[in-house]
Amino acid sequence: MTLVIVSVLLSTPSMLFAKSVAMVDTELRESGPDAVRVLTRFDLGSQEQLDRIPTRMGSWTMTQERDWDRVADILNTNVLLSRDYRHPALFQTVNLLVIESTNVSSFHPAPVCYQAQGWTVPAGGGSKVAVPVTNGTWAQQPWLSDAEPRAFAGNVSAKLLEATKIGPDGAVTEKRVALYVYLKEEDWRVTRSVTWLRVEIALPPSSPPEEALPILADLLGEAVPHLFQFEEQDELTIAQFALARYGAAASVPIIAAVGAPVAYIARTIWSARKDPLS
Amino acid sequence: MLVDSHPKTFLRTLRVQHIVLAAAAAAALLLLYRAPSLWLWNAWRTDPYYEHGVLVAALALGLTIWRLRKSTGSTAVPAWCALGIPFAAGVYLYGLRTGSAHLMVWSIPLLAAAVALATGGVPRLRLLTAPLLLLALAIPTPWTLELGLALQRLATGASVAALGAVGVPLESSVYGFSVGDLAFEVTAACSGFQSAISLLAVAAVVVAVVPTPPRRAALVLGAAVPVALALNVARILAVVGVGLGWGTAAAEGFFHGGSSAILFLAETLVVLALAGLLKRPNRGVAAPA
Repeated sequence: MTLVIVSVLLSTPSMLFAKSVAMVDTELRESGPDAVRVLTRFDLGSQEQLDRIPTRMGSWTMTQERDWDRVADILNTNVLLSRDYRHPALFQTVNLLVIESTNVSSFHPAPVCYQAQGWTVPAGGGSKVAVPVTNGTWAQQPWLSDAEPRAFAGNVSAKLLEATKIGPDGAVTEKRVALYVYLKEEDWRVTRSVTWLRVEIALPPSSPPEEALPILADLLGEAVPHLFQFEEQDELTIAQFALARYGAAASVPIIAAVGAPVAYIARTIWSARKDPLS
Repeated sequence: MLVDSHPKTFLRTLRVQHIVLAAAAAAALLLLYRAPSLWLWNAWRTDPYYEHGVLVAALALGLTIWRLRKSTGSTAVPAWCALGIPFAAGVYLYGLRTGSAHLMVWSIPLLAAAVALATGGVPRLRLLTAPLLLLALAIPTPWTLELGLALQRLATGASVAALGAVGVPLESSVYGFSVGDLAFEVTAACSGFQSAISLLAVAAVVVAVVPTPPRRAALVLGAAVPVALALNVARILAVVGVGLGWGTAAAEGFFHGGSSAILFLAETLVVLALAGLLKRPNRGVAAPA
């Protein structure tokens, strides 16, 4: 019973009352510190609805769409979107990949996925970067008036990953740079499905990955608002809300709720020690 | 001292308050473990490394019931035996706080072990160690994927080495190789991970049922994984041979699926033979002349 009480106190209202919560995160297997709660605009697990992602986003225009990607075989999923987008100022196209899977326990983290295709990735698995999203919107209705700003102007944390192929002589023969996030549908902090959102570009072997970051961040920043809206982030746990709202007075019922079962158990154990036959 | 009561005597002295407490505990467990259980069930259904999960969990449950029924007598349980429960609860809470489904699910066998320890002391925990370890084989870990990929590379490398040793010209990649026009890929299902885990589970059940000295039981358990991996490579080579001789359709068709079942049967016979050879001999008293 103590475990239940503590779990409820550490939970947020959306964990308790919402069917599921969607989080954009850079970590796959646990919650990262920069995870952002979002509301998806459509079902990313539906192939038909994935097609709603626009072919023109900002200055980017789709040049090619694939119905198969090697990554889908590795991740054992059939739901995917793989498109090449071109920017008028660039020669190289950028690939946008969206893959959804309910096979969460063996979903390959991005570095592992690249390694499975024969690429070499750095030991740290990539570096975390901030991607500015300027046309995002809030999911909540305005509170006081319609004049309130609805646009979300902030950053989404993503991971920048450099993948290379090494030739027999040890020289880099191919290089790709990817910028990615995971969209996780969570139920009671347990991930039920994962969507991998990745933009990737091929670079000359000698180019540093940081050269690709502005390009990739631009496409990802354009794609994000078409995929989801941002929810209010400062959701407190039940215990935090109670303490913030009622101050020290809230600590009394919290301590009582947690302490009473513990005290009962301790009293039972102590009594049994004194009188083993009771 | 906390006095344990044997399960049968406990049931006879059950009161309404006990039933209410048990119902409350069941409701609490349902609330806490609904999502992690669904995650685990999904893994058993979709994860290629844990398709054996349902079978292994069922074996663990059967072994638990069988062992509890065989156990007799009551033992005094020291108060410190209750400390396992807050430890298991702490693991769950840490998993809840960090959003780690693995930790929340792994708290299940930990909680089961803690309850066994709290209700029956070290003897009951020792009695249930085998089924709990068996259950652990059915629960995904954060490093299973990397282990499975390593086994894929191992199986690929061993197959390539064996084919190269007999002079078959081929080109190899990380998880596959091509021989002429035929391309073979060592997928997760062909890594040997499932065979190894399933055979380890069979070996665990065998040594739990057949009277075996501890050292020899460890030997039987230790042989399960190498046997499974070695025979997995043999199966890959057989599939390649069928493919080279009769084409891709023959290799991917009946032989691919049928060879998996035949392989597991062969592995099980090896383990049974080992356990049978290592069975403790009956030392009966010689009849008087």
